[in-house]
Amino acid sequence: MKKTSNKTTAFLSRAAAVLLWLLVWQAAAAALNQPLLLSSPTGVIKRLFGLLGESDFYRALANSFTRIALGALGGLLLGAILAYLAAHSRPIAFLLQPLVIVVRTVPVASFIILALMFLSSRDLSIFISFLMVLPIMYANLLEGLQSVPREMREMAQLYRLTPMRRLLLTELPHVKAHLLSGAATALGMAWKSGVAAEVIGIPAGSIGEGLYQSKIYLDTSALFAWTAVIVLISVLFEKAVMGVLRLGYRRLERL
Amino acid sequence: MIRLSNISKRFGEKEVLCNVSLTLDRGITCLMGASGAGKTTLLRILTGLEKPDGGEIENVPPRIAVMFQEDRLSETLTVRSNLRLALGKRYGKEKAEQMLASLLLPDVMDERVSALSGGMKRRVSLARALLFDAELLILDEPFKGLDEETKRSVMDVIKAHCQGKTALIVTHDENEARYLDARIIRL
Repeated sequence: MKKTSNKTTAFLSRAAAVLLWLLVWQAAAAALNQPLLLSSPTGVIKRLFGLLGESDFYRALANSFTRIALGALGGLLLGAILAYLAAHSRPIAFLLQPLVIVVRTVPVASFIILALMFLSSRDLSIFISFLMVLPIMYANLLEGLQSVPREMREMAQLYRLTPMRRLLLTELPHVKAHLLSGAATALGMAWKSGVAAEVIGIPAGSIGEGLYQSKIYLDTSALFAWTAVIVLISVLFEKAVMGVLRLGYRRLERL
Repeated sequence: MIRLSNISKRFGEKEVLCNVSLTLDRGITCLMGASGAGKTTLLRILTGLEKPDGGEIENVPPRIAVMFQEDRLSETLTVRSNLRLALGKRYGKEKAEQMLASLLLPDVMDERVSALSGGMKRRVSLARALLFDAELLILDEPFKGLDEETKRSVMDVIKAHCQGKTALIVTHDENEARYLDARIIRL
């Protein structure tokens, strides 16, 4: 009972904070009275409903979602596989280390411009979201795998666990926090970088194109509306992937 | 017969084992000695987890079941997951349930290890070693933290299980060794 009331209080506090900032925004927009520069929340909501009535909106949404999700999931998967290989082979870890450092430190815009020379603008967001997700997943998971206690590694050795059973019994349970936090951070980055790649590459029928057009036409309502859509689908996508990962863990825990 | 001859081991400046020789026949052997006498190091050498600095080891079977001083269980997994994944093809639901029941742990299969008490975790760890069904069984202080009644039951299970097999058990209590009809080796 107390737990529920604490949750309700926390939710109401958060909602009140959001409402306060929306009011500040509304007041600032009213004071400035320049919708081209700063659209009001009500203006954004109107624009958002306008977008929802357009078939192009759904096409753009589907195109961007498919590409960015594909890149992000590919990055998660390959990042996890490479981390596993690196955790069990020092040469592989040494080989991958410089690449991972480069990917993590070079600005994403440099990668986007470089990739545009080799890839079509349509495929750019797949590659960029993949590239941003991979090192985060790799680094988090590798750190987790390398910290599996020696005692558990010895147990796996003496009980002659196959690589799969060793993964399920000693490694996956230990890296749960690393895996989940790595995936959450990486998925957030996937949408930020994926959409940035679309804005630079401007593939036809994409969220990036919508954002680009809002810049050309100084349509801040559309800019905010598209931004709200990006935030919403990125949160939903993250929740879906995290839900699948948690479900996997629940099944493992009760195998 | 497993034979260890003139085993020596030092960690840095500290000499832990110096020319230790022993043989292990079928049946239970209890390894006794003061704390720090090198019992665990000797077990680690026997299992291949540690290399001796000198000496010879002969006839160690390829499959060894070990119950360590620590439980070495995956805390977030259930008892069933721990046993199933550790034992692989040797895991059988009924066999596992019977073993756990004989160790006074009925109905824990679906419990998470983290929800068990220290004594219960010890027995799950012991069940895993016994169910592994190896030629050589090594138990490092298996009765630590158990009350007298539970300890008796656990000793009965070990005694029955080790018939015709080779087992090396580390203990500090000579009464336990006597109850197990074990040969005693002191370090």
